Amino acid sequence: MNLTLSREDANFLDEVRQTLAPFDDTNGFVVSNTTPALKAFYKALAARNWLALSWPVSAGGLGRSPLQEFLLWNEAHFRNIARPPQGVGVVAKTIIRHGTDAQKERWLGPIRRHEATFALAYSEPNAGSDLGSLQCKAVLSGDRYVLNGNKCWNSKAHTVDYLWLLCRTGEASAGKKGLTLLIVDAHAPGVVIRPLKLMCGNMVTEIFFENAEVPVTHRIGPENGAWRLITEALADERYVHFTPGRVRRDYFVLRDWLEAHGKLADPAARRRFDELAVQVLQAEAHVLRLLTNEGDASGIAASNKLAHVNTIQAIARAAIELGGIEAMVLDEPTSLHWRQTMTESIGGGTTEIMESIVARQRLGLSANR
Amino acid sequence: MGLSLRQDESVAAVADSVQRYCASLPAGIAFRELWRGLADLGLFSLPELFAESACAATVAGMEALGRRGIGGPVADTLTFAACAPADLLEPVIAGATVACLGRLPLVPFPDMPAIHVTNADGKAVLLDIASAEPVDMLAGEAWARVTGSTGRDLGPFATWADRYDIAISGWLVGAGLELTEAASAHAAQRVQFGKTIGEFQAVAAPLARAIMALDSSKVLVETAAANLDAGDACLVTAARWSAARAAEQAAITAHQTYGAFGVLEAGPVFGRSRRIRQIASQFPQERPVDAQAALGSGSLGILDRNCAEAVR
Repeated sequence: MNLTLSREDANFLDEVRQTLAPFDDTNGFVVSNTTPALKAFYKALAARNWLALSWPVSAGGLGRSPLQEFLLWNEAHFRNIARPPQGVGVVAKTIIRHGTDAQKERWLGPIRRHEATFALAYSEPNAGSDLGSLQCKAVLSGDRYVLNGNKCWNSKAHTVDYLWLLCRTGEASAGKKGLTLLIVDAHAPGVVIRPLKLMCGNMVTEIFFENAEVPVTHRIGPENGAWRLITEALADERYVHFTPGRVRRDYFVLRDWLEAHGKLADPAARRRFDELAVQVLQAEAHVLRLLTNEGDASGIAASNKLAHVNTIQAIARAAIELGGIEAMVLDEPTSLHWRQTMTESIGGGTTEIMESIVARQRLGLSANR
Repeated sequence: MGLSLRQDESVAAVADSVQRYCASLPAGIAFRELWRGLADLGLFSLPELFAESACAATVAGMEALGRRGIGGPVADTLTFAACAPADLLEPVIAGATVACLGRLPLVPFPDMPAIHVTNADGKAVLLDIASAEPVDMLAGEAWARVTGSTGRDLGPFATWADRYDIAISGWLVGAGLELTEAASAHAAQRVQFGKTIGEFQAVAAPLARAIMALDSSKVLVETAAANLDAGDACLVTAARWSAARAAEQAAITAHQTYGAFGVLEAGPVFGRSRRIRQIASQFPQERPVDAQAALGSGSLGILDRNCAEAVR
């Protein structure tokens, strides 16, 4: 067993802390945020090429380890700064693996410089967890695809330059074997994006395509061959989106709030809140399992997401229950955390889907109804 | 060397030896014989043999015992072997005497020579027993309601409690893992409504939640043991709390997964779940989680602590 950071990793963590400190509480994480401060943060990372931290050197990245990528984003979450932009993970890493040379030349530079931003456009009103049944249709016409249909629940699509679109090019009966990935200009004619406000104040969107045209050169990977690409890409995100840093931050913020309001003076209340610290550590334990795993980690990644979400929701519930009526004031952190954490068990894979993955991968059970 | 959760070879060998020994045990073996076998295996010498990784080795051995459902005051005896003065150790390490930790009046009372230790105002002290009345306990093991007086001072009790907690946490994780894996195997072959019951989310999801809790508890317990070997007890109370809750959750889930089979007295769950239930809050009694010590104050807990080591 070795849980000691190498000198190189420890030094990197020091550098991360110094670099990120000026951006503390940028708040690009909890609420939908397009402020100059958030852009400045991403630009500061781009200046160090840290948006391409773990990309291969041959693709313009720094070739660093998943551990360093985790250390960077865990720190950003702990400091309430931001999650990574979606372009640098799923999008860029898929292009690196499956894009043509021309596509790599076209997209990777702007992404790592934070000059081209992306939102994922996968889910639809009738295809949330079951992406194999999605209906948004792309038909090839000459050198362009013509898009019709709609998407829903897409984070930040109203703030970005491009959509990373999963659409149907094959027959509906082909299910997940009839899907294709396209890069769509979010401001192209025929593309309409409307924000939908969540209960926490964050924004998701619904997107409508009406004869929107996409150059065939914007197709990533083979036609009807997207399924393997998107499932493969899920592994790219497993270290960086659901980190224990965010869990710890929630715990400390709510503990400080409860103490400031005298709500932990009762030993029983203190004990209950102290016991939640164990769940915080368990969330870190799951990340350690991920970072040290050498095989198929999809089950561990699902466990990590579940532990993360279950813990932040438990902290939020405890803070409300221990905080009394003061905790219900709408702009208090107690109230905001409760509202925000409720959305986390839906986005990024629902709790039900994640539990099914754990049951299948870890216990050999195929839960399907 | 990169991060790794894999145990050192010598520690893993302890688990292998204990597993092999447990697998060789005949059904209904007498307690004295079992105890002598554990001693012959070298189990009670672990604190001496693994001076710098004694807690890690203890957890590995206890997890293997938990998986096989081997009970008795093993954690007590390992704690005694690690903490008691040298002049008291020989019969304990040889398996001739069992060490028992308890709080008056209820203490473990096996049917063989025993040495009792209790907590008196923060000190571990020998307990001289004057009278003993056997009591049937939930865990199904030999206990008694005793009277007696305290004797020799054996040092700060917190040191004993740390060792006991880390040992019993290993047992709890092992017992929980075994129950959950066995219940999952049952769910994968038991057919109702034309399908295996494991195909129903209502059955699979609780099993998934149970195994998740155990997997993270195992990491936490093994990390706490490694830290304790390095002289840092900061994670011990959190590890025990985590292991106890995870094992309890596993037991409840296993009872439910097996249905009526799961609530038979001689069924596949009760023998293990009754002990989990008792141990989860047994002497030296679950201590409050020291959240401040366990969490620290930075962006990471486990890695931050070790990061500081590296920089130093």
